[in-house]
Amino acid sequence: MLAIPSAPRIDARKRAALKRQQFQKAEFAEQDYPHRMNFYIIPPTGDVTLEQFEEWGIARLKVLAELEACQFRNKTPAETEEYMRPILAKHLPLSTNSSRSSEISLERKRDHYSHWILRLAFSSTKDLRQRFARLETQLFKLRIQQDDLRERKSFIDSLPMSWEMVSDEEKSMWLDDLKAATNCIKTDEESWFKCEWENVPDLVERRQVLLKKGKAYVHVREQMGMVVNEFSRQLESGLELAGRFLPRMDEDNRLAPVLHHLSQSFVAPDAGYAESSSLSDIANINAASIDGYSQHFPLCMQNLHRELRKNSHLKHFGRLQYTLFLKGIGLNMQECIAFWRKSFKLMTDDKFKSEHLYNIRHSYGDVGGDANRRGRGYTPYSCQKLLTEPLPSGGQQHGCPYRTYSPDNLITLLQNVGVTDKELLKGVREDVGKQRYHIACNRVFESAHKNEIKKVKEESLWPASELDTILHPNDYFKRSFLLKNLGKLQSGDIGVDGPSHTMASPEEDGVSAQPVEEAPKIAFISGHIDITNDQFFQHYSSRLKTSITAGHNFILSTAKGADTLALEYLLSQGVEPSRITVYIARPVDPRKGGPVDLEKYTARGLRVEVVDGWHAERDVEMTKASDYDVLWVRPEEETKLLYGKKYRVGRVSGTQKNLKRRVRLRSEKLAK
Amino acid sequence: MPHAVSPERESAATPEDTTVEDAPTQEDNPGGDDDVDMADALAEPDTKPAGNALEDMFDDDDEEEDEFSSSAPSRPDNSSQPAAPISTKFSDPENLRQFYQRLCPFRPLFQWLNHSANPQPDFTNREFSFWLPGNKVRRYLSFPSADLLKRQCVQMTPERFEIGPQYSVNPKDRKTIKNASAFRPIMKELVFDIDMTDYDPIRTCCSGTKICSKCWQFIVMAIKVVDAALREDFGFQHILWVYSGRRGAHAWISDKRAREMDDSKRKAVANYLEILRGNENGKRLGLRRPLHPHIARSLKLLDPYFQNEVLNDQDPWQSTEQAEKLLNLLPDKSLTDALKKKWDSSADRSSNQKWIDVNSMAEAGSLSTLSTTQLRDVRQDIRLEYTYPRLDAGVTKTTNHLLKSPFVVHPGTGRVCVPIDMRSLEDFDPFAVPVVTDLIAEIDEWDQKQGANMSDEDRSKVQDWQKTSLKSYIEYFKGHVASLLKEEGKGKRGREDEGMEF
Repeated sequence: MLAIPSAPRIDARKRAALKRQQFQKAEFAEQDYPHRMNFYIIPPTGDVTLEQFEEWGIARLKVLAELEACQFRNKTPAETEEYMRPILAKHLPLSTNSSRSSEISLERKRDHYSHWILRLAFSSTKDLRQRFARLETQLFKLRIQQDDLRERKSFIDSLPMSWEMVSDEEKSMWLDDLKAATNCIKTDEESWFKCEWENVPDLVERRQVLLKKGKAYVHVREQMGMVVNEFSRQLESGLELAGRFLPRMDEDNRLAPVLHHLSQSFVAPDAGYAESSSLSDIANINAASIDGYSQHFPLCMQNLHRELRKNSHLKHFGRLQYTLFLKGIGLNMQECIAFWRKSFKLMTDDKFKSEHLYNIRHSYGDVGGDANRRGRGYTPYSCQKLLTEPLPSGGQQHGCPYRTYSPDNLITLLQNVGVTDKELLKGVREDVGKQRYHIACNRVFESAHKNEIKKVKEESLWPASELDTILHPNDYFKRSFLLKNLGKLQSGDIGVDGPSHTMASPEEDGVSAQPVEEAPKIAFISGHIDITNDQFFQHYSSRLKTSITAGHNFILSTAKGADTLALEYLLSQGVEPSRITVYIARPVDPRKGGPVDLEKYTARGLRVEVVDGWHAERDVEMTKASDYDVLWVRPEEETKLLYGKKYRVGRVSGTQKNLKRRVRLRSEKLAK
Repeated sequence: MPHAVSPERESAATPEDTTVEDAPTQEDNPGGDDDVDMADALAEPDTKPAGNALEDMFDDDDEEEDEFSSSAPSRPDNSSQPAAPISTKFSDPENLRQFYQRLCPFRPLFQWLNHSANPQPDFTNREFSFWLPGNKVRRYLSFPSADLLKRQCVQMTPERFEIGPQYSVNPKDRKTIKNASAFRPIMKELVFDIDMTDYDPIRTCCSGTKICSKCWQFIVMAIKVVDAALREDFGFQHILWVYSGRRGAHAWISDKRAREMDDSKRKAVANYLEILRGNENGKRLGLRRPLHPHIARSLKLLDPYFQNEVLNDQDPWQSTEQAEKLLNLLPDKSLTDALKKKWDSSADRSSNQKWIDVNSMAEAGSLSTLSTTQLRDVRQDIRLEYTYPRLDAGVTKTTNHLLKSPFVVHPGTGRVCVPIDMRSLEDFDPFAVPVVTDLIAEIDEWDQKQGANMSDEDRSKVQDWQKTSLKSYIEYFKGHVASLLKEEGKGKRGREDEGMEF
């Protein structure tokens, strides 16, 4: 594992000692863990298998995700503790010393290692670091509170913090002053410790300590807070360091995918936005169809849509929120630009170009800094984000209406969008009164889809996880859309085929009375020939998964890189070889190309299509033969770096051409 | 007693107040009168690059003087007095040159800021700013030694100079470094500024820039309280209190621990000491009970002052309107109504009597709903309101804040900013503080009297400052610096010993 230097605050002598500890004992050294709690100052040095590495990381991740969910659902500390107890026991048990469990050392090792595994996984971006530090601190707090008194004390005593308990003699001398200074009431424990006042500036500032000659006398009740603060401070600086060291680890291609996967799945529960929320592959989402889809939008987005239609304008944050949502449901950038252009009826082209175009492109990661492009723009906002951002001021419409509207206005708004059930509105009013905005939203959703949900539940069409609380506007849309089209999905009316279909029971077909004769959609997989495994993993796998579950067929070429990786990936995912067609270009000029080896593919049960011409001709055929693309174009900046001197400005890659061709083809079709 | 000074000086000082000190229309100096915040002053164009060679100064000396005198009439004239005679009074370049040349104790100042006999970054990387006539400020000056600081002062005759923090890089090189964040303040004395203006709501004798021996007592109280807290609570030892030249006092704490505090710790100390918060009319105390030991101690210190200096001398609730203030501080409607009635009927009751009335009527019970402890708390709050130090906390909170150096001349009063000897704080009389013009006369007088009876050799041994009334102040300051250097020496040796272990 990557050895990350310990937090910088530790003084040079101690650091040297730590280093010695880190390296001298050789990598086989197993640490022993005298305490249940751990400050995670020293990175683990023992060996673990890759499986353990991933498994342990995932277990801890699960715990952190649940902890975050508690926070999001406004659970009180007591409720959180109650809720977390079984989860902790299952995924990350930590027995006390007194339990005499034989598992103690393994449990503690797991705790230690998993912390450091996640530390690596979440040190890459500032957002991740902050979130990780916040949740780890919460976990630490939760656990130290559960710790039994004696063990907590011995743990705290073991920490490298410079404080000492106030002796009885001193205590009796200053008792009144101590009590007065620390606001210690009768029922409080009469126990204090002292440290340099510089260690507790915030307590000094609030006059919560007794000061004597530069020493601060602190009441023990503050001690735990100080330990937690110190933990959080050390973790934050450790993460900062790890972030800086991370690039040096890129070499290791065994860990990188695991870490990447871990950090990705950490993003999901919060942002809640998975690419599978996008319906672009299965439904035709374009500028013109947004009006039709808007009935499936959650109130926040419906509201924005209505305002936009009413005023032909939206203020900045509203635009941003809505653009990202549309991006999330699968509206591509060109269509999104078209959407806004048409929506801002009253605006001149010049004004639109100068004031709005860039922002839309920025949201999609088409322009902007390297980080923005690499991240493909911003992530669609989650409910959490909408519920925590500052309230909109006059004329602004962004945010969650359940929160931003007064209850009366909210009810009017709901009635306007067709929610009229008195009981339901009463429930909404109650929820909103208790500030449970997302519960209110879910209530409206559940009522609107009562019948479908019942059906799905009865026939267990969807896994239960697909029906839990909605925490993301894009989830709301997807679920609403899929539920409303439960019947139609099979009938092929809208040419949509969601993942739900694969789970549909046979009688479903009977209802729609239409056999599955509709030809499955065809995905055209293309990409760069020099793509790395990591990039493939990042940009292709989840999209391919969606297509696989939707039962689509695939076409790809014989090219190296993306195509080859995709072929292997599809086969490894258990896709029938007959669902995959390999396109082979046969050059007209035989001098340039060797004989084509069809056997190589047919032998594996794959279909083969031969196109006369070069790869450009081949690609044209492939676009024509398919319904949509699965591709990724490397951002310009990255290409520049990759090719160095060989980089040519304005070069358009084949993949990029594929993308453009598709857009052209679609618009031609629309024109007809 | 400003009334004691000659009418001529009085008339000269008044317009000076408005033009130099408190003129709000001057483009710089929006904060206070004695200090300048970094951000404010950054906007002030440097009249010259900071590190200009001294030779250059000699060359264009005359030219600069021309520049200043020519710029004087053009600045916004918000006094009826012509500008020229004012600047010739105390900030007259010749007087100042004499002062810097012969009297200002640069050597001890250097040691005090440098913490060692040999120049080290504590001094060489420290920012100085010069205030030149017309409220021009030159920021980010730095000097390799005491002599060079002195030469520059003699050369440019700033009305005053201010001391800032030691920076990570020599301030004059700040523009040469690529990374702007590499230029940051790393060390400065912990400073406090107590200014009479903050007491205007509770003093009756004077207001604004005026001061008399009655209201000087507020400063004495403040010094006592802050000094006690700094020594007893924070354990600081090297505290220098300095008269600010007109109506306030500064504290400089040179303990190593204090110098190295970051902004958050400075803020913590400032807020620890500050209990009066809120605006002019509604200072809210919101103290919890039992009182924090610091506040309890302060109250004990302040109680005698409340009786004598506040109730008797200031008589703050004399008139009906003034008494209204007191009534507003009492949280009980029936009590205030009764008191109001009583005082309306007998109009000439003194503050002292009114204070007794509050107590007796509240204790009578029938008129008040206040319990004994509530009454005690209210009375404590009122006493604190009228006696507790009012700090200009902004000065304390940031490391990069500049503060006027000790031993410079206050341009409004001509008084030298002398240190206050804490052993005889009560005896310190701001009106007995030497005035720069008198000091120069004192030298001449000494030369004629005592000097006349001495041999040439003996006479040459006596330095100019020793011939004046500045002598006791400089000697006190030297003693302060010596004890600081002694402590530093110890600390340094200790650190070096520790270093040997590596």
